[in-house]
Amino acid sequence: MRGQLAPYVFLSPTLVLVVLFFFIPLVMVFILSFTNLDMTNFGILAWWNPVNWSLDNYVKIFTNRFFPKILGNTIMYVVLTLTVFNVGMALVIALITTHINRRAGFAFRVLWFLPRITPVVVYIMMWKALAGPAPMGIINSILGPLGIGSGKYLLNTAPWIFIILANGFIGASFGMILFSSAIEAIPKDYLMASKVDGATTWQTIRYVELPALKWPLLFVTTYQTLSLLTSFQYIMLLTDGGPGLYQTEVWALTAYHRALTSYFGNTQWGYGAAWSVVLVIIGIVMAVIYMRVFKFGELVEEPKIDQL
Amino acid sequence: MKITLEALCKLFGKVKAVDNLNLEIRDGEFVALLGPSGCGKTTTLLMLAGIYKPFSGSIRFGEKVVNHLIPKERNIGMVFQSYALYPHMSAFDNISYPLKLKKVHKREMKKRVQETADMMGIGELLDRKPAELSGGQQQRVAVARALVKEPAILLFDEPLSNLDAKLRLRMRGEIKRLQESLGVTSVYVTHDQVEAMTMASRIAVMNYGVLQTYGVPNQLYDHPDTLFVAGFIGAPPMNFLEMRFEERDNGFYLKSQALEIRIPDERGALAKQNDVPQRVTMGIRPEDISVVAERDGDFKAEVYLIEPLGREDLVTFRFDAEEIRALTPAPFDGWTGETICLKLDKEKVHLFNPETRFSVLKPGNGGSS
Repeated sequence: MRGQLAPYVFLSPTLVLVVLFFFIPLVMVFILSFTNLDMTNFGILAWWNPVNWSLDNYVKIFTNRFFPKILGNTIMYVVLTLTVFNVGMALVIALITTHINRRAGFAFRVLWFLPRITPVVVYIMMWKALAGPAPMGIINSILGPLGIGSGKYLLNTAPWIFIILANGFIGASFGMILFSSAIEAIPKDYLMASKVDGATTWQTIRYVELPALKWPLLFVTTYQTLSLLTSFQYIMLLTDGGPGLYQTEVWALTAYHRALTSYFGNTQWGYGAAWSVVLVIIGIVMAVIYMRVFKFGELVEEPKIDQL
Repeated sequence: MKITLEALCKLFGKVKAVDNLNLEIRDGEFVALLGPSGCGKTTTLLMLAGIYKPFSGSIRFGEKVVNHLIPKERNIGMVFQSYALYPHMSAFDNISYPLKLKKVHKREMKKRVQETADMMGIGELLDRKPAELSGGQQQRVAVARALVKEPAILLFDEPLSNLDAKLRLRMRGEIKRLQESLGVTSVYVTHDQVEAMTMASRIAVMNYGVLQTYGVPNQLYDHPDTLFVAGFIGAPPMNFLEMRFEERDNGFYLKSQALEIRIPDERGALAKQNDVPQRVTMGIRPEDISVVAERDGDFKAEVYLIEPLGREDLVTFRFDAEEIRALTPAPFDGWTGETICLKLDKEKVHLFNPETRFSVLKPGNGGSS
C-alpha cells in the first residue's frame, strides 16, 4: 500500500500548484467573463452568483468598433510570424544547418538561439535602438547617408515589420531545434537510397525529408499558432498597440489592456476575461483544424501484415 | 557493365577504410565482397554507388572513370540492409520513385512498376505502406525498386541479414536466380561466408581495408591464400596448429610434441620452394580429420565436446593443450573423455608462414591469383 501511495505523494506538490494556479483561475476567468466585474464594483458585486451573469461582454466584443481592426491585426501578426519565421525560417535553418558541416551547423543554431535566451526587455531595447530616429537609430544611421528613408522613428513608420521581426527571431529557434533533430533522426539509409534512386539534394529534401517532418511540422505549427495568439509582451514593449489608435493592437493585448490597464479610470476584469475566453476558443478550433489538415487519423490505421 | 577499381583508397580521418584496392568485375558477373564488420566492404560499395568520394585511385564503369559522378549519373540500383523503403510511400510509390525522378511518363511508369512487382511476386501488394508489409515482402519491394530503372549495376549491402534463417535461404536462391536471368553486373556485400560462397561467381575477401584474396568460391575454400581467408571461409572454421617443418629421409614432415605426419612430397617441395620457415602454421579443415582404428591413426586425442549437427557431428578433441575440431559421420561413436585415434588427410593439409601469414603452398607466396 505504501509503495502504491508513494508516487502520488511525489506528484501532489505539482498537482496542488496546477489546481491552485491554473484550474481555479481558468474557471474563475470563465465565470468572470459573464460578469461586469471591474475596479468600481470590486467587493460589491457577487460575481459568483449566476444572477449577475450575462452575455453582455460577448456582445460588446463583437459590436466593438475596433473589433475588425483587432481581428485583422491578430490574423496578420499570427500568419506572417508563423509562416515566415516560426515555421518557414525554422525549416530553412534546420535544413541548411543539417546539410553542412556538423559543427558549423551547430554553431549556427546556437546563434539563432541567442534571441530566445536574451531577457525580453533587453531584447526589445535592442530593437528600439535599431529602430530609433536619425541620428541615433542604428538602421537610420546606415540608411540616412544612402539617402533612403525619412530618418523618422521606424517603430512609428513601419511598426509591423519590427513586431514580426522581433517575434520571428525568437520564434524561429523553437521550430529550428525540433526540425533539425527530426532531420538528423532520419535514417541515413533513406537519404542514400534516394540519391542512388537518382534524386538531387533538393528532390531528396522534397520527397524524403519533408514527409518525415510531418509530425514536427504539425506540432510546431499548432503550438506556435497558439503561443502567438496568446503572446503580447513583445508588442506591448515595442509599440503597446500603437503608434496610432489600435494600429498594432492584437487580441491578447486587447484582453490585457481591458483587464489590467486603465484607459478610462476603470479596470474591466470581466470584459477582459471575455476577450481571453474567445481567444481560447479560437485556439481550440485552430488546433482541431490542424489535426484535420494533417490527417491525424492516418497514423492510427490498422496494419495489414499477413503472410510470408 | 565492367567495373574496374584501381588503387582505390578511402580515408576517414586518419583511418584507412579502404587501402589500395584493385579489383576487376566482369560484365554480368556476381561478385561478393566478404569480410568481418569494419573491413571496408560497405565503404567500397558506397564508393561504387557514388555516396562516398574516393580519396585516391579510380573507379571505372566500362571504360569511363566515374569517380566524380554523382549517384544519379551512374545508373545503379541498390538494395540496403535496412531495405530503406520510404515509410510514407506505398510500395508502388517506393518502386516508382526512381522512375518519377527520371520523369518517365505516367502510363509507362505504371506498366514497368507492375511488371517488376509481378516478377518479384508482390504485384498484389502495391497499395501497402512498408509498415504493412512483412520483412520478406519489404525485401522484395526493395529489390524491385533497385531493378525498376533497369540499372547497369546492382549493389547489395547485406540485404538478407534482417531476415529469419528460413526466409534468408529462400531469398538467397531467388536473388541468385534473378541475377543470372537478368545478367546485371552485381556487387554483393556480406559478412556471411555461406552467402558469399553460395551466391557469388567470385569472392573478394577483405580485412582492415585490404583485399586478402579474390577468386572463385571453391578455390578460396580449397586453396586459401592467407591465414585470414583460411580461417574466415568455412564453417566450422579450419583448425590451426603450430608445427615444425622438417625434411629428412627424402621426405617432408610436420612435427609437434604430440604428433608427426609426413606430407605428400609435391606439397613439401612446393613449401620448400616458397622458403617455408621451420616453424609453420598447419591448417586442416574439420571434414579432413577422421576417427580411425588405433593402428591407422596419426595421433591420439581426448573427446572434449560432442555437438550433433544432424547430418554430421562436430566433435572437439583435446590433446597436449591443443584443441582440434572434426566433422564425423553422425552419430559419433564415442563419449566425452574417451581417448580416440585421429587421422589427418595429408592431401588437404594447408601450410602458412606465421610471419607473413601467406600460404606457402602457392606459387609466389600467395597474393591474389
